[in-house]
Amino acid sequence: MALLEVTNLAKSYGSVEAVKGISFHIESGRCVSLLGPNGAGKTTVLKMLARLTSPTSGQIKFDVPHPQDVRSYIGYLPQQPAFHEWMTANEFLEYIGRLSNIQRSEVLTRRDKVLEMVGLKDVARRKIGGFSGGMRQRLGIAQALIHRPRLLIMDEPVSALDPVGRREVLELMGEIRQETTILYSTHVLHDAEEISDDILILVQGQIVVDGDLPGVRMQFQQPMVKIQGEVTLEPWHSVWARIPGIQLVTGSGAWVELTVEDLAGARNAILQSLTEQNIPVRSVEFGLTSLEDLFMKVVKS
Amino acid sequence: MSQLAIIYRKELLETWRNRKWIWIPLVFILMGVMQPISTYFMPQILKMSTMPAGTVIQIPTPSGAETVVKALSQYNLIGLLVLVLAFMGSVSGERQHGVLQLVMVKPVSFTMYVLAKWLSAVSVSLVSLLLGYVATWYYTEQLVGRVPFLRILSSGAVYALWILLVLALTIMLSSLFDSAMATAFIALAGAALLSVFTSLFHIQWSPGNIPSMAEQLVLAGKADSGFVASMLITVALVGVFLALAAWVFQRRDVV
Repeated sequence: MALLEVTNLAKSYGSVEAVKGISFHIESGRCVSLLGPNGAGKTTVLKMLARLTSPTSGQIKFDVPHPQDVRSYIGYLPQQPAFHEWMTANEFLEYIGRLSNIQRSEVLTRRDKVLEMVGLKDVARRKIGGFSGGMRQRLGIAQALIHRPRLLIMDEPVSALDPVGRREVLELMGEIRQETTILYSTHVLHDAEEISDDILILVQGQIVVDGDLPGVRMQFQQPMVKIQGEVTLEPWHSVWARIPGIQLVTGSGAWVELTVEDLAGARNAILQSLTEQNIPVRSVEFGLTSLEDLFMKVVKS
Repeated sequence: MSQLAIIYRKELLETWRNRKWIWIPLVFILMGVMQPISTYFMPQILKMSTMPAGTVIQIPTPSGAETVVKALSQYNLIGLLVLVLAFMGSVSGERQHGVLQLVMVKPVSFTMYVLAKWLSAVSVSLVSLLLGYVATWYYTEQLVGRVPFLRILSSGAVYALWILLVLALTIMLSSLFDSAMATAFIALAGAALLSVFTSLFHIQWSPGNIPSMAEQLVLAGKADSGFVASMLITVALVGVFLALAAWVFQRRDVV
């Protein structure tokens, strides 16, 4: 059985349906990214899973030994973690750890371990009020891990960070996924491609893509031709659109992208069009659509 | 250690670090001792002010008990205001700030959370009341006149019950409303209305009688009939408010 099984989960705020009856499951040990544009309902879904928000309807089932209070098994990192600013990192982690019903002696060793893991050991005795954004994010991860959760839920863990901080947190997540199941939301596709096993794409409160990364790639990836011209290529869009096998012509200015159904058949026709029409080409690239193309496609449709 | 103790300990640490443990007792001490001191110096103060020649002012010298009662009424006016303002954001503040997310995502009991909040507010308030009231008694004995210490103790204990009630109401409102101002306004208005209705309709068993009972205990050493009933009802109301607070808190989404 899956670690987490969600059935027809829905949440309405007044007349606004934020989440429209979604179903999915998460296998134990996977790293799952929840993708979607802003306002898709990602945060609402995660908060319902963390029991911070109650669903309007639907079921969330955890496969854990004591399902009465599943909060013991969940670690949660909000989008902007807020702490007691007057506490030190040590004090805060001890407080949160004790609230998770862990013995004091164990909390202390666990606290030192997670602080070392997230790289905050040197500032453990400093007040949280003076922490930078990156340090807060790492402290947030530390508090989410202190009670060894079965499922770590992270809401946009890297969005607010600078490139260095982003890289650090991604590497940290790479470490954590060895030990625990992770579900995190993001709108940065590159990050999702880098570390997740499975992806869920949420658009306007509905799941439109659900599957493991290679499977999704296989299912949705299409051959694609990218052409860069010396001048704007817009006058020739109609020429390419007429070639059989070309599904979609997108792009503007000097760039154009042709989504192709059957690359073998269309390759010659495309190359021919370039010479026949005497199009001033700078580069032509034959490749496959990326996750980003898929994302743009499902978000716009 | 249970969750109640963990959260209570954190609350005590917080009230210590944000100096509530210093300024609230100070307010109560100052407010209290102002009464015997101003009573003592009143003749001098009057003498210093320039009056037209021949003005005769006759002020009956208040007794010790009357001076203490004046301090009690100060507590009921300004003291309650200070306490409500100090604890109005107890729950809503953590919710607004966002730290409540990190707390409630752990297996924390809503009841224990609310109870710890109330207990810590009660601790600060009752210690402040005790220090302030004893200081008032001491200065009254020194400067004005004798008041039996037993009367001070009994009236203080009775008045403490009123503070427990107002704090339970404040915590309940704080878990209901996001606005601390709304909490303060409704808590203070509620306490005032209760007192007004009680005296208007002579409801003997009303918790609103407690402040006047505390005053009678100082002045006469005994309280009106209805004393036991109003005490019991107050204790029950404290329980109801706290249960409501936990219930409201549990029903609301944390974020």
